[in-house]
Amino acid sequence: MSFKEYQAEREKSKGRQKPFRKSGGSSRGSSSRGFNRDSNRNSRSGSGRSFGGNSSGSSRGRFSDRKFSRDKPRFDPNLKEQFTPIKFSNTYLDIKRRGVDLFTKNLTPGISFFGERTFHKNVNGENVELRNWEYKRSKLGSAIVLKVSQLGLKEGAKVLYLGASHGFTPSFVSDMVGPDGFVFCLDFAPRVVRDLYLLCQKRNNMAPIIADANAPETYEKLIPEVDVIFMDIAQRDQVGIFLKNIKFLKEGGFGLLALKARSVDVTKNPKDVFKIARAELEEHLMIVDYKELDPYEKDHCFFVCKKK
Amino acid sequence: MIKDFDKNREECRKACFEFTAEKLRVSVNQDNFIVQAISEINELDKLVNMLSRRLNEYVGLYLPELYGRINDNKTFARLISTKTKKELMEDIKITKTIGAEFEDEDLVPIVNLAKQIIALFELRDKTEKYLELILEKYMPNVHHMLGTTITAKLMLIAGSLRHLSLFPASTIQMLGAETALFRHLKTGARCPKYGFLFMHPLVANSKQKTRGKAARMLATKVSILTKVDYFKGEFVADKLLEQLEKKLK
Repeated sequence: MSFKEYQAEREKSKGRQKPFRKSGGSSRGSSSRGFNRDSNRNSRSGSGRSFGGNSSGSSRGRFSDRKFSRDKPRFDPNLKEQFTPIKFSNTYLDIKRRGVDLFTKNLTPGISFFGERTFHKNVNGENVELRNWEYKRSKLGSAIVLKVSQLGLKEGAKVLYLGASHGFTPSFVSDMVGPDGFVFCLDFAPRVVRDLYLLCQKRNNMAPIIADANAPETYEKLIPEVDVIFMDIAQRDQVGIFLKNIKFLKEGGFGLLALKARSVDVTKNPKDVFKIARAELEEHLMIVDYKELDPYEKDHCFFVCKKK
Repeated sequence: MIKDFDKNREECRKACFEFTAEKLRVSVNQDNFIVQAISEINELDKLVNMLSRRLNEYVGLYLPELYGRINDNKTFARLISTKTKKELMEDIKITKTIGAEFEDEDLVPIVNLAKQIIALFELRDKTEKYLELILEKYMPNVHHMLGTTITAKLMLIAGSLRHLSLFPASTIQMLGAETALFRHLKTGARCPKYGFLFMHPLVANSKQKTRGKAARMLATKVSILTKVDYFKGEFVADKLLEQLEKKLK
């Protein structure tokens, strides 16, 4: 679709909504003309805002809410304290009227590496320093916000992180596994590993490795058997690379795969790509959970697998 | 795989750091220097243009008659930084101006800005010389064939000599004409005949009808030469250039 067509369609859908608003949307008031403002007052779901390219007129507001409300944490007006530790270790969720905030307990108090917000808070009688995890920037973060059932990132777990990049998500994974756990961060490009190296120096449970995830034999000597493998690599053969690395996983360990459909095949429908990937994974692993990260990451999905 | 990780955790961590540090150290090569240098030159160009425009505006308050008389940013900055208002007025042969009278302290920022622009020009020249030097050392064949500017631009797009040597001739011919190429692919508009290669005198000076052919021939030669340079072969660019010149006559 060209930009002009897109604009025309958008204009059309706007026009369609106008009368609907005037007659039906009484609770919205005059202020609802602002972008995304007050659009979910009726539905009461946690975050009615639709992120990531979902800006066409017809899909915002109520409809987008209904589509994703199943997976979203809901705001409960009766509860006074909306700030709760969730089932994953060292992870906290602040449920607001609109949207949620994700936090982890900071392993290096006083230091934030990516300019994120840190603050002290009393949670269940314990004073902890929390670091804001901007989950829209991270596939693992969005999976957690979308209520993924299991991750295996327990306290003390050893993690192999493939596709670590600058180390944004790995730093939060290292927060989650705590000082007894360990995160091996692997990336291929020298430029990003430079940043990663400096980050890992400051965190005692992280180590950088510069290697190609497609050739596990090059870094075989450096890593032990791990509890969790996380992969986030935008490559054509994502599933193949993932399966190559499964040999580092211990029995019963978790393999987490964030799959980008558009780098597997741009022309195919993402859903079909996910289906094929799922079939391929199921030959070797047991799939525990599956999430499409749609409002946060376009055309991405998240597999949680368990080694048989 | 490591078996007893929990016992010697610190050592394993250290091993990872050493492995990575060594590879990071080795990963820096001439490609990075070339790309950084050409990027610096591009950014300096932008910067100088922006500051020169500002200087022009500033001087407009003081001596508007100068506006439009000097097109070269470098000489303009040099004039402003060295000459007084009277001298400038004599230069352009006028006795009265509509510009305001400036006090000495108000003149200081203008002169400083002009000096800074001259310094940036000098920096650009130095970087360009350096770029020429490393290009001649690192890829003598391509550099002989294309000259500094075009070679640097090709390298900026490719990122490394290895990558450039993997390009086929048809890709090299189109580098720098991406918008036109994709417009052609999308809407069926006419296909571009050359990108950066148009700047080469052999292409630019040939007749309109044969330009596309010239670009194609040049691209094939360049494609050969990138491979020669990547594998550190002999110097053959002069022979190929001669062949090309003969054919195009």
